Amino acid sequence: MWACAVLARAALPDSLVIQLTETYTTAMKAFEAGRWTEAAAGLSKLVAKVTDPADQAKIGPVYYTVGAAHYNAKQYPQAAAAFQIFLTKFPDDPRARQARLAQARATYLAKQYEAAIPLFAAYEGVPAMRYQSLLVQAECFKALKKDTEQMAVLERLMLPDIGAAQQAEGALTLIELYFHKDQTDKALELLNKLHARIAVVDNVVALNLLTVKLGDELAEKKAYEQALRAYREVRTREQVLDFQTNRIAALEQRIQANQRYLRSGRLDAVQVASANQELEAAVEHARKLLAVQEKMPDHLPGVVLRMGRVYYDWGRKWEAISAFDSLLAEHPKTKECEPALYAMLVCYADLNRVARTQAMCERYLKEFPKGPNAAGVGYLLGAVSLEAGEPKRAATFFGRILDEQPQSPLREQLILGLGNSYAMMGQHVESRREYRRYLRDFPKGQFLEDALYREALATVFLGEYEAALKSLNAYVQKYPQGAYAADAGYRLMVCKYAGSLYGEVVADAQQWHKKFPNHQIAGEIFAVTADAHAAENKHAEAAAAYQQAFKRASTDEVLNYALFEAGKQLQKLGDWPAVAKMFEDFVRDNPNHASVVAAMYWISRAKQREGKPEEAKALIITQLKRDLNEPKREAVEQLLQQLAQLCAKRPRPPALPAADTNAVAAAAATNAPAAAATNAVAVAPPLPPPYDPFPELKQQLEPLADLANATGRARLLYAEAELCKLRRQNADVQDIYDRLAKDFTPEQLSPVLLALVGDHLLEKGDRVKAAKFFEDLREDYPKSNYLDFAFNGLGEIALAGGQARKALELFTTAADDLAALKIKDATLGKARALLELGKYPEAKKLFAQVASTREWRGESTAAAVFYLGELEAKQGRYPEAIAHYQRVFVAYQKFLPWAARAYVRGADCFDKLGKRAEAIGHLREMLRNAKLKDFPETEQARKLLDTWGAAS
Amino acid sequence: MRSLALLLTLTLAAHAQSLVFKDGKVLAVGKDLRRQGDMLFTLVELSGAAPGQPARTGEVGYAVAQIARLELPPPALLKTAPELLAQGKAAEALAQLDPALANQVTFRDLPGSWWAETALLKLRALNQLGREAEVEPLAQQISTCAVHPDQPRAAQAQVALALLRKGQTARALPIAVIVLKESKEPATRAVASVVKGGCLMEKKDWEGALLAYLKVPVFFPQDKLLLAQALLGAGRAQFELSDLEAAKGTLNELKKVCAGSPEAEQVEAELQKIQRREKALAEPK
Repeated sequence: MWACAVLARAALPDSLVIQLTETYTTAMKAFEAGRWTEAAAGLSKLVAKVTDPADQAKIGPVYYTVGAAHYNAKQYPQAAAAFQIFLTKFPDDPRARQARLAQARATYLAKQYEAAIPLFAAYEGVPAMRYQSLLVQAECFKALKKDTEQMAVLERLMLPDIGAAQQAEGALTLIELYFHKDQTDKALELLNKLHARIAVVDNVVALNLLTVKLGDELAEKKAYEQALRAYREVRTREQVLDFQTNRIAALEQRIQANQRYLRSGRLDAVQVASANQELEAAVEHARKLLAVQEKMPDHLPGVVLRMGRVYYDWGRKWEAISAFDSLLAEHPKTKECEPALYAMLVCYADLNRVARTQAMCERYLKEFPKGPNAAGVGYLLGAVSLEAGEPKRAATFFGRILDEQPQSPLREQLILGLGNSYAMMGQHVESRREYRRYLRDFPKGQFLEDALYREALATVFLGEYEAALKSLNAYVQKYPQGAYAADAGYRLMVCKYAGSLYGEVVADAQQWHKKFPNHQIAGEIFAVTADAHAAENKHAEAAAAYQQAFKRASTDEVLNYALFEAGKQLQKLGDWPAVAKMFEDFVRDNPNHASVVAAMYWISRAKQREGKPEEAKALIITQLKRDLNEPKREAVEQLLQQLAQLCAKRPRPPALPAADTNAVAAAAATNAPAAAATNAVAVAPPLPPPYDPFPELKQQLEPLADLANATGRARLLYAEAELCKLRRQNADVQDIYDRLAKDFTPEQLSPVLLALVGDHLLEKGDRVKAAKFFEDLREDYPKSNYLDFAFNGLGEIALAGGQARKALELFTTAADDLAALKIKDATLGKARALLELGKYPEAKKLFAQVASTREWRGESTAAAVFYLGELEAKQGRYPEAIAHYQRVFVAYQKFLPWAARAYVRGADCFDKLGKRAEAIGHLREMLRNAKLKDFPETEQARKLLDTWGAAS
Repeated sequence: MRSLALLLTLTLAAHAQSLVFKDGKVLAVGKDLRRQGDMLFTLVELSGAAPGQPARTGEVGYAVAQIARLELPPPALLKTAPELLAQGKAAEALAQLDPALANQVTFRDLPGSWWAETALLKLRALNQLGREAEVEPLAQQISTCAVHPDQPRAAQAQVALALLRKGQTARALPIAVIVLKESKEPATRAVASVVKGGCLMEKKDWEGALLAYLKVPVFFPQDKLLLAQALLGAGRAQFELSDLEAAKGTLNELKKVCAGSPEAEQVEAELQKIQRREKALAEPK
């Protein structure tokens, strides 16, 4: 009751003192009872009545209490004003510090933000108040929409480093501000710091959500790397729960520790109670947060899905797939699986991984048959197959999806796709059926024109020309300017050609050219025109039209057809100069075309017919000059072969004068005396010496020798080898290949020579060196026509080295995937590898295939039959083995190495059957064959006979 | 995702280490703590023999069975050793780790011991130094002394890595797969991903290898040593899959983010392989 005492001492009338005392007492009772407004009103009234400054100076606490009452009553403006008055009147009062703080708070709560800022700023230097001061200032600036100032304050809050919960709270706000100001690097840096100091973050879930939001916004702005960094900071649900559980445990341990200190007397009860009260509040808060967090679903799948999408947008499809793959494997039953699987298959489609895309589509349709993307995936399954050139699979998929998704919004595309798949396979009955289905089911469909035209086209391909004419005309009538109008015109001509209406074909073509000048299928039109002329034996017109056709052709198919048909027509006219010129022009205009080699052949023939082989050679040399040093131009070796063939032919002697020739002929016919003959031939040139083509070849190649690099020089040697082959100088051929192997590195050789030299070395038994040539061929020329030499050769080397499994892989690639020049050898190699691996049924099948393929008749047949014997022998079926061996040395005796081996193996099998006499008989028969005398098996046979005491 | 750091936020006694008994009592202990069989001994302060007499110290023993856990401050090398390992200085790291392990070995089976965590670092060092033969036995010991459920898995991941380095992919792969299935720790999963990638490369499962390797840059790019291995493997797998552009991109990224690593030194050779392949696939001039 000091106030009463003060009032009593005040210079006030007694009655007023009594009144004021009563007012004060009533107001204070109200204050103690929590009736703040009443207390504030009463105390304000009291204060208003004390007018004497000296008396006022004595009732400082009353002024303070007025402010407190207003504050507690949430009358903040009044509280702020009251505290202001208090501070003005009583700046040195012991409660001045609390009053300043209360004034600041009241000002803030009264939303007087401008005023609140400096009030709180004054507390920045007070360690215990620093965080609160800065946080409230930041809130004030936020309310005043002063971002820059808000950020500056929050940045001060972060100094020197984040170590308190209030700083973490401020950091969350600052991060959002940075982001909105496009200061994403700062946002991320602060986020990382916060995550590194997770212990001070009160609400990890809020941090996680902010992190995801930041990541999303970065992704939207295409700051992919930063978005991913943000997403990686997100904690998993387990981590959040663990964190929160551990935090609660740590707080509880602190409470217990404090109680232990209390018992030990190190701290007093007040300190402990106060600290533990705060800790218990923190535990309670943490438990509430934990309860909330436990109910929340796992957010990680959503984050991983986002990461996958960011990688996809960034163009890093493999990384996207890796992310989606993780999601599907680790969170298999979440709602994110469907979009992840869909996104994954889109990635595979983008990467052109056809098999994978198909597999993913299948998986999607199995796991999400009614998923939001099921229709699109169903269509994609067929479309990707069609695009990859797998029409059979495409047809299967389209058909299946049409059955499984009868309501698909992509039904039109599915039916059309199915029709197109059949068309690609040449199954035109089926394709037409699908196009007609489309026309029936979708009479106003968006692809109506396509379906109509393709239906007509199918009819053409089925050879139903009359019906096709009708369909095509119907199309042209409906779509005179349609996308297929030009093609329809062409197909109509084809139908008329089939009906032998050649005149109409020619006339229609003329009209067509006027209607579609410079069209890309002009080549086809000229070709069918030429066909019509040719059918009427109008060779000149046909030749001219074919020449137009190949010049205007937009596909190789038309070009090749027209070019060589033109040649035939000119030949029919006997116009060899025209043949030569036409092909020369072609070669000049298309020097890199695949048909150049064939064209050169025709030029050579034409020039020879004209008696001008030198011109043919000159043309080949011109072509070779361009490409001699380019290893990938495989036509070079073929042209060199042609040149060798031309050089191999003795040049025709110059023609004799007519009389002389008659005299010589007459003399020869009548066996006239030598004198008459001699007179008759006196002017004839002497018989030419034997022709040596090698100097001719050398002379022809001389201009090339000057410009040849190592690749070129090797090729020139090859030309010489080819000439030796033509001259059956096999030893010289071997020498040249030895030189090629010795004097040139694999890097210097063209793929053709790598193949041939590799085979040469293999035959000689130099497997190590051969392997290098084959490996270079495989690595450096994956598109070569001779690539299968590499796989076949390496297969042989592997098999010889006891690596049957590796050999099988290599032979399979050569025989099945490449299936080119070495298909026969590779098939035999594959069979041998299977034999080595004990896979007898598969091996037998392949050996039988080799043995029975007519086109492969020769040594490989002997080998295949021999191995069939080996196969039986390995399984202990000796009679069957003997039968095969006997077939070798009876039916294929000209293949001496195999015959030799077959004799010995046959004898061995007889011996195993206990039929020594038959075995001896075989070996003696073998020894009687003089052609086999130098084979190692013959020596083996002698030794066996010695051992058996049957030496002859 | 961020690693869960072990919580060390206890602001307890001024003393650095304590024994916490099963009955809740806590006893501060000093560096004199020692073990003998099933007993732990420590020096404690006793009052004078009589009033006025000076305080004495005496060694008191406690049965290990009474101990709930040790509360020991984490050794500084748990920070320094990983930094050394990240710099490729495995030998230096090992020089710190071996004595620490020797000091801690008698307490390794007690909850709160740092032995297992320290031993895991040693496993990493051994793998880096190519001392694969020593990895499995140590991993076995860790499994019996683990204080955190992921420690045995982390040890197994290192075993798998050692097996991969020895070429024993048939043994390494199933271990890596199990670790990936069971572990949630990013660092452990990163090692297992690299192992899985390496094993699948051996089996020529290029795509499987690629997806395994890419888990590291996608989810765990922090560990630069593992990142380098993963990016090199991924680049090679992309080459085998004929995605040459992607392979170049991956290898160039390796050069950029892991410059100076042994893997970065191999990048040029790999890029030359790609160049050779591009030349092989190019159309003739």
